[in-house]
Amino acid sequence: MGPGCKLSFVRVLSVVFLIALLASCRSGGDAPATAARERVALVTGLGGKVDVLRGGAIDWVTLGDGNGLYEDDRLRTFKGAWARLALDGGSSLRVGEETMISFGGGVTVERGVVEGELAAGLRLKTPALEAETATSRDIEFR
Amino acid sequence: MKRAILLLLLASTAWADPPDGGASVSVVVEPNGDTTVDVHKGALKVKAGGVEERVVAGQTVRAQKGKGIKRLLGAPAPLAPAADATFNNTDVALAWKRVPGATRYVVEIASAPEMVGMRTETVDGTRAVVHLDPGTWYWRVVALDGGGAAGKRVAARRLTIDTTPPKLKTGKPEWR
Repeated sequence: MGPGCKLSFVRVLSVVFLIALLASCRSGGDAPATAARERVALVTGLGGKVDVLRGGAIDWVTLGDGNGLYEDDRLRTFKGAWARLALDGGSSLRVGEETMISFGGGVTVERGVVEGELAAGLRLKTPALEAETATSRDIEFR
Repeated sequence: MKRAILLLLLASTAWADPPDGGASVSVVVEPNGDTTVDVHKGALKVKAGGVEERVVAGQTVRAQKGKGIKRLLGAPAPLAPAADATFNNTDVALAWKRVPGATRYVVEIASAPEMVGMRTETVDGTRAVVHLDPGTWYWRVVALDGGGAAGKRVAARRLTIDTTPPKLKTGKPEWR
């Protein structure tokens, strides 16, 4: 192997490293790390600045329409922003501005405004309460 | 402000049917964690401070961190004047439906639908006469329970005071 060949091998290696580095830094989409986690919701519409903190990640990244949301992800909307989510299981949520929610064993609204249609069995938590849809089985006969 | 925006949003929302056995709800969590849950359709089991309650369509509950659940009084339905009414005098009679459990009512009036800088008037009955300057106004009524806790708020109704005198029709005199 001549010195020229060695130099081109180093160049190829540098390019591969650079591509790998860029791929790890990309924002917005479903990061490869999410593939191992269970998807819990899909973004079906949004407006304004909406970010997601992927489970285990350190940096918030911009969330895009059509992106998936996974267990342990957190979503935040800024002033004037909103997001519409279709949850696996049939629930649909509209997330208002300046809101933060997280996923994991249901949906936790940490602050802000969320409204929507909750499917039976979905658990909703806030710092002050826990809620769950009450099915006909919960009706007490006295 | 956020609450006002939500109220406007709610007023314009036709609640979709929830999936079978589900519920349509809206949840507001304030920065200190205090939470208000409004059930529009279906029913929810709500747990807070070791207490569990069933909340059905049309009911609203509020929970503070570490405390129990408190049911909020309903919003008084406005009776008069009709939405978007126009008056040519500055004294307007407002009327609303009685809310079971309410001991007093607070009339809220502002010049913008967000109700920023609103003026309030507390009354015992379900009627109040208010003096308003010419312009566009938004009003709503909040029920108070025996402990003074405010009930649900809804989107404000608009009314206009226009005291511009009507134009006189003048014609040419005719000799007979």
